[in-house]
Amino acid sequence: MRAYFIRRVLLNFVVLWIVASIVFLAIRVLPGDFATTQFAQLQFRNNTLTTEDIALAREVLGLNKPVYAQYGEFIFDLLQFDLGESFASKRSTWEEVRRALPYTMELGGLVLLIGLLVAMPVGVVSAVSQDRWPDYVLRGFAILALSAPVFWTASILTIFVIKWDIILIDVGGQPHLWEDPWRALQWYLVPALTGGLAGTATIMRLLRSQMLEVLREDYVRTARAKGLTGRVTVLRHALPNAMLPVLTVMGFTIGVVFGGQIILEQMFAVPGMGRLTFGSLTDRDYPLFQGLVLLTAGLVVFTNLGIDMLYGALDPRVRLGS
Amino acid sequence: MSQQPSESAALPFTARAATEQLTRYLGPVGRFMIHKRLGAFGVIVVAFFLFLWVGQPLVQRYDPREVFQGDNPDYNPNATVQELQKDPDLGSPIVLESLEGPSSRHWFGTDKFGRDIYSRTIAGVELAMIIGLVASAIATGGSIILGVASGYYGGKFDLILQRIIDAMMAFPALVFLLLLVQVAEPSTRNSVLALGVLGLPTGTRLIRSATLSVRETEYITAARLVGAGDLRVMFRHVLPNVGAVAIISFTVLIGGYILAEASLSFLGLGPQGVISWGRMVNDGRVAIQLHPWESLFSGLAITMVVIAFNFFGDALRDVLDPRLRGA
Repeated sequence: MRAYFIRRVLLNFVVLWIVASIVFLAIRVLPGDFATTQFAQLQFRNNTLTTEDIALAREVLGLNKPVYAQYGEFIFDLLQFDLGESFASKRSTWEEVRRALPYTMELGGLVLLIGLLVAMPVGVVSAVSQDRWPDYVLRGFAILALSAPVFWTASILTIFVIKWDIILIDVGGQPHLWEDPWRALQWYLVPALTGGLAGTATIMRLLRSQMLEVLREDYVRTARAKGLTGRVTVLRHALPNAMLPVLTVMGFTIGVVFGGQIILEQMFAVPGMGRLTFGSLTDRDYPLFQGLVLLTAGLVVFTNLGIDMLYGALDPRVRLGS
Repeated sequence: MSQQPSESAALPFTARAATEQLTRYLGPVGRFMIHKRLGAFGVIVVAFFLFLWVGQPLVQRYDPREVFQGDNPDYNPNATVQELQKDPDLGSPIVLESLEGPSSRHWFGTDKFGRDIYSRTIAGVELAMIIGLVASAIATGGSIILGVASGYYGGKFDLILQRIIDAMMAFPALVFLLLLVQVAEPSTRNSVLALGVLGLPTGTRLIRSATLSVRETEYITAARLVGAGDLRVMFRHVLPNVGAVAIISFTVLIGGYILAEASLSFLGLGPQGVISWGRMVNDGRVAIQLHPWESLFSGLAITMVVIAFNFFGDALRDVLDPRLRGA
């Protein structure tokens, strides 16, 4: 078990090194760099700039160094957990994450919460009434939720929310949940609902298929045979076992949540991780983008490892012989 | 059936008997349509969209790029400067028919440039279908090659490839896609390629695990014993047996790809120079409170076509591989 764990941890670092190399190369392959994107913006505002200015900016940013030198520096810094410093804000990537992460966690938490709250009853009811009309209706609903683009449902929902004065549009900036819960919730209402609805579909479908499998198990029949009511059988005996794979999938989404909901954050001006990542990519802010992607990827691979380990601890059948 | 009274009199008519009779004549496709109601619904809607794509000239009412103008009812050639400052439209004899609501002339209304939204929605079918079908084919084809090779050969090749796939899967999907699409200019071809590459990791995983289970069977050992080479074994013996998984992955991917392209276009990074539903949803958001029609209809089109492909893919998966149900 321990040897397996160590092997997996080492493999994760190899994977992260590959991620680092891909992201390093990929963002440099894209046309333009930070100097040109920023100068394009200045040019747009009618400031005349010369090619010498761009060359000077490249030198200041260290973009004129050969690529292998930049790569060496990047990896060397990485080994010391230094994720570099944003070209645009001159703040370290860690500092940028510290500012953006709370927003993403709030929105992501609400999305997961809504997703789970809807998916659990819906998945269970759908499985218990397999191939009867509640099942068809709920499955149809799940596929609808899976198929409607979030940016569309969010746009349409916004119409009603504004029409009925449910949220107030203000430009005071996004408050945190703990600062001004009421205003924060108003702000998060539409993105959390639409994001949660989209997330519901995956969880619900998985829970349904797991429930169907578990309901056919012998111990469920035993539970029924010893006279337990249907409700107790389903909720106490079947559901906990069906939830295990569901939690695995939810675990995968932690990485996604951490990385931020690019589209929703972009639409509702939530200054979270998704918006930061998208902005750093369009600005060609190399260090910030590299750092953000690596952090997200790191979280994904290590949560996966954590889930696998937890899985072994929870379910004796998958425990590896030590 | 009711047109044959003599037969129905002799044979008591029941719905069940009729269904059985029908399925016997219709074969596997008919059986699918009858037993998988949601799947059948999907097939019909997909067929409807395919018809809209192929039958463009039949269903199209106007050129989707035509800008509609009309006489200005308020036109006043003798307007004073003050009046013109208040309402600049007074000075022009014709105005754009922009942001109109649905009418018999413009079924879905017009957008802010005075173009017919119905025609644009219909024209958008083409991009969605091309993206969905071609990207999915690229992803599935690539996954078959990589997955079968990786599963069959195993060893170092498998180990390295799987680590690269781990790395690709650790990327947030949209970030990976945004990186890919920006490498070259945003044309339909490049977007299709980028989306195809995006689907490789999961597809390869799926095909690889199917290959691993096929590799251990006796008929592969037998084929090798009679002297079949690696390529022959892979093409003649492994490939047909992972075919079901490949077909499932192909159909299930289509809906996701149409959604992904819509998201890209919504963010302004989709293919340029073509009509895209995702961009229409975004364009419509400018005046969505007063004029929701452009966003509403284009989004509805995305939802319908994706639902249809998802229903179809799900049902097909249930039929072809019950083990993958709900996965």
